[in-house]
Amino acid sequence: MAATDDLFRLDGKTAVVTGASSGLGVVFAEALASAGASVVVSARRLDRLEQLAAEIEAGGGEALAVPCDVASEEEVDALAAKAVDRFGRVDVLVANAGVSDPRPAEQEPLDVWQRIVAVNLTGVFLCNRRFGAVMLEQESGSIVNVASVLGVVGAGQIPQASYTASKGGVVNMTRELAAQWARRGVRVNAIGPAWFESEMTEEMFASDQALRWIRRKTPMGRPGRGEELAGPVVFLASDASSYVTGQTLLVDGGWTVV
Amino acid sequence: MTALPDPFRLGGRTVAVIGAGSGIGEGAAEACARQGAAVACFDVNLLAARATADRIVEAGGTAHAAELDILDAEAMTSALEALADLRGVVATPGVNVRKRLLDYQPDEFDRVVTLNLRGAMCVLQVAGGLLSANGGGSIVLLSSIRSQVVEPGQGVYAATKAGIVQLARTAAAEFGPAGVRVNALAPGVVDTPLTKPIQQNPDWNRAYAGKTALGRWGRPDEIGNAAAFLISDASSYMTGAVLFVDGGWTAIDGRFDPPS
Repeated sequence: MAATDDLFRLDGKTAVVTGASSGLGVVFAEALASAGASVVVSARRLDRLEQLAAEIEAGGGEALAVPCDVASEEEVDALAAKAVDRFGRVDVLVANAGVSDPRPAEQEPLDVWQRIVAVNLTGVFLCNRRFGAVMLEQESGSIVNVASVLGVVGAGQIPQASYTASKGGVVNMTRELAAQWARRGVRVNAIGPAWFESEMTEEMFASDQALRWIRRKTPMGRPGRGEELAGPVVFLASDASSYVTGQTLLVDGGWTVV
Repeated sequence: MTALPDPFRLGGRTVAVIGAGSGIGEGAAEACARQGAAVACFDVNLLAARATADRIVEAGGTAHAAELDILDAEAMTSALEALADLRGVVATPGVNVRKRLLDYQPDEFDRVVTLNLRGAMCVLQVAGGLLSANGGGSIVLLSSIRSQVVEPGQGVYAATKAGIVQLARTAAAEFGPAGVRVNALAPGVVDTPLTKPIQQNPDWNRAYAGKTALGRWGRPDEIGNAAAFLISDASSYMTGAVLFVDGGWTAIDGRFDPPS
């Protein structure tokens, strides 16, 4: 059967990825480009973005690097303006930028809490609001928010009240925005990864004890590989998921079933 | 950057779809075929299974059809064992008797629980054993939004669909080490032969469409694409998950008033 009308492809579409300077953001940008989308890659560190954009263009894709701190309303507005200016529209947003700073709650300073929530929850809201507006104007678009299994279960052993609260917020904000925008052509979903190697989890993946903990607790017996998040993101971004909205896809090797 | 291999493609693999003769099973069979799989179309209704397989072949895909009762473990074992390169199994058969709990008869309860829950169990045992021995694979069971939200008159059906979720989650935990993934698809209201009578009632049709966020019924191909995704390597780290393909039905709060 011909795959020319492959609904899992993103040919001719424009995607914006935040937090694209490292780890999973790079994987998302490359996967979206590979699926045919033009990609706007965004993060705070411009040098890394430019390298990624050059790599995508060298592979025959189209990419634009725009520095942006998602916690800043002005910078998110500027990012959207640049994306629309270059490509005329935005079909997909992958709101991936996130930070963590684990420490016991009884010792978690207010400024740490506020910084984590500002990026992980407020930043995701700012991006959803701004790019959602672009998509509502087009009457078409798909948003994928990067939440976490820690948006639906606690961590405990890697204590981080601010992170889990922010990701839980993203899970339910995803439902709410889906409900608000569904009949105006915009779908909003999230993915909930468990343990993947990235800049954020570098320390954890360097520890044999932590890796043993992950292997023991995960039914699939191993942590995830970055590229294993690409499929769920592209699925949710594409028309293959045209009847899916408000959902958080858990990509966790079974972490939450046991 | 070199082009990445497309993880959604199913070329060189066989996918068995039990219930492929109509509705969501038919949608899943066609979606897997579009991604390049050889599809074994099973149904208790052989003619219906053949019609699905014929349509796939006419469109340039690979498929064959055979009769299979989802409750017949022995027949299912031989049917699946005979398939080369079996990597995925999708099972859709289910039945609903819409009646309030006080009116339910024991034989009706048994019929719904047997087909829905024992059928799912049979698939897990046969396909789980076979794929574990073959080095891995992916199983997709059909749950429903009724695993999470109910409606008067759907209690027993809802109980079986919630039961399927917990069977799938347990199977994910038990088969995970053998490389077998198990996930559940939870459709909302979908335009199938099974739901035709409800759709043809304008009040029900509107009430159901209106309860979804998207404001419409789903199509079998939309559920089928989600099944193909869960069968493919694009979901290689997903197991024990419940994927709601419900137009946002479960994302929104609000009491639902079905027409009386």
